[in-house]
Amino acid sequence: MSVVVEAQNLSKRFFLGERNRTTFLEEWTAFTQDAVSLLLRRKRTGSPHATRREFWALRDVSFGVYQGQTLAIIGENGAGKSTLLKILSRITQPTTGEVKVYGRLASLLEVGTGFHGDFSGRDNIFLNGAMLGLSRKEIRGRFDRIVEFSELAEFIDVPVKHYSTGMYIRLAFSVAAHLNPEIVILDEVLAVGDTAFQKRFLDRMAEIIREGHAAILVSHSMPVVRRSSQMCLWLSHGRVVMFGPTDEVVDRYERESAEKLEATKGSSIARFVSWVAKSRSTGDSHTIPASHEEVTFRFEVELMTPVPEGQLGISFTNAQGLVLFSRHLLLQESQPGKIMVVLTLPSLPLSPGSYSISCTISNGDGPSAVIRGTPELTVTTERVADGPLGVLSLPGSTLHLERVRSQ
Amino acid sequence: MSSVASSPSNLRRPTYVVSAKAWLLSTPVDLWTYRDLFFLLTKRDLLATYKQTVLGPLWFFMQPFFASLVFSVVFGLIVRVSTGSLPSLVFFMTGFITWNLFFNCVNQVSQVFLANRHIFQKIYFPRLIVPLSQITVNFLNFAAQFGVLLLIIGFYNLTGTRIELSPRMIFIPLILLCLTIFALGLGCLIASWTVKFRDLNMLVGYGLQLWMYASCVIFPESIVPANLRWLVDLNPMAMLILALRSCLFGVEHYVLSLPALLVLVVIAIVGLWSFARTECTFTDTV
Repeated sequence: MSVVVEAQNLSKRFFLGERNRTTFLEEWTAFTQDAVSLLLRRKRTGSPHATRREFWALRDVSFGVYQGQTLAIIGENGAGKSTLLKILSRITQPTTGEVKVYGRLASLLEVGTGFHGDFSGRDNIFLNGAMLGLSRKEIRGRFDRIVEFSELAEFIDVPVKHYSTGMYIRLAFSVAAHLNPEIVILDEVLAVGDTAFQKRFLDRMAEIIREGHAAILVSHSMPVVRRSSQMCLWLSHGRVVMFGPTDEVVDRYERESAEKLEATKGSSIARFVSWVAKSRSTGDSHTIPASHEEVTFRFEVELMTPVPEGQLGISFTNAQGLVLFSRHLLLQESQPGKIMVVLTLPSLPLSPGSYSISCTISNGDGPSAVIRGTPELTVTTERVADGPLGVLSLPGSTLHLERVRSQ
Repeated sequence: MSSVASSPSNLRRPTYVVSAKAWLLSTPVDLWTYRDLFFLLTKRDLLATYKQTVLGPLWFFMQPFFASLVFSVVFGLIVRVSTGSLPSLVFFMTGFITWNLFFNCVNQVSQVFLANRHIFQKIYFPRLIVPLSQITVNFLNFAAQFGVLLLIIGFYNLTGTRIELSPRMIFIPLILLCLTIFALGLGCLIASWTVKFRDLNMLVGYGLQLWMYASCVIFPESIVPANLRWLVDLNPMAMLILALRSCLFGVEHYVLSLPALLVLVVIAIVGLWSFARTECTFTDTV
């Protein structure tokens, strides 16, 4: 495996306030104000240093992408994801560090950039393709496939200003889908709207990546990240929190974001005290075998505030964030103090692994919040070589062969 | 291919490097790689102006012709500026189409960052491609107008007014090359400033109009008063327009002004330098 993108110690500094002071008049006003206050020996509240406060959008970011890999970049808004993509795509220069890119890179931060309304779909395919780095010869070779992909054959000589929004987007995505780069940079915002056509585009991108090319993807959707990438870079406030295999990074990312959410919301209404799970064959425990026996869960929760009318919910989530099961009950005229929530399941048909149980609570019309201290449930089972795999483990299930009588 | 791909990364040459130490320059190699974009942009800009007009490309021949007609009426018949042995229409039109080439180039190039920021923020290609294609479009328009000028001269010769063309005409391409380099440099310089100071955009148009009156476009060098000579001596555009008329018609024997040539070279270098500097980070400010 050879490296295709290698980033070392990337940092990017912005000056806050610089963006706003763009007119000569403003610059001049600021200058005269400074001069006047200097003459009057008076300190201005907004010193020139305050207007040029520096801000590091990225700080010492290093990573590598190898051939055939997809790297996902995750992090909350403002973590520096877009700035990183802009540096990788040669749109802006880093303040420190460098990126080496090996191979032809296509950066799809937007589709349809540079389309000109007065020109036909045909002309715009050529122009947009050339902007994305294709030669006229290459575009000519792909032209028929692009038109076919866009399903716009009969409108291809119509100026694009007469296109509907949907047609315009289809044409733009079709050009992007036929760039055949060695490295693709894809921003998730492209997939917003999720029409059938955009799904086809993303399928096509996945195909390109499968063909041994590399990709860098920015996404807020953890299921998408888990599905499509092997490596993951987690940014927060411009710094790398974690860089490694996707499952490890995303597991931690999800755990910490859930904790952050609980710390801010759930704790004000209720607090989680303790819990046990009990089945007939095992005693009180947090670890129980998958079974077709009845299992009883007892959750002790302390209400911090009176809840005149609300809802309490229990849900089981697997490590990938998929909600497996959920039940709710109504809370009425509940006073502060401890309550016991009892959940009885006829069986626990889960595969071995770790699951989180979250208790959510809502007070009146407000949104439900997760109660702090989500319990972790570990389900065990006797592993056999041909044992069941997947989310569900159905004890007593069988798999066998039957003869088919040949005629 | 596979042997290249499997060799250690430090032995392979990166396709490109984005570094804090090196500018994101449009190198000649990059420009050559994107040559097809240059041709397509040039074609687009040429055609875009004619789209949905009744007379279409004819406007490019007519606009400087009408403007020259106005100037020859105002300055030739009313104010009576002496145009020497040349008919005033030919005199004004020569200066005017040349000035127009310069004016349009500077005006368009100076807005390159602001006008294309939506593209520049999303796609990389060598930024210099855009000014180069704008200049090419203007140059092609100039060539068409120059053709019209030659037709008018031919018409004068047929109807009895003798206009002699000088054999020094062969230097005209060299003069035009200097003019486009100067326009590119100045446009790039203003473009870099407008990223920080938008107001400059408004001033460019007026500034260029004023400049025209200091550039011997609508009067011969001989009527410049001695106390304003320095305006002409330091002015690369006056130098180029005087040189062009002198080479075309053999009138107004003009000797190149060294200070003006120096100004031209300095502005061209500083302009391209600031453009390269701005190219790296302007998307952070606009």
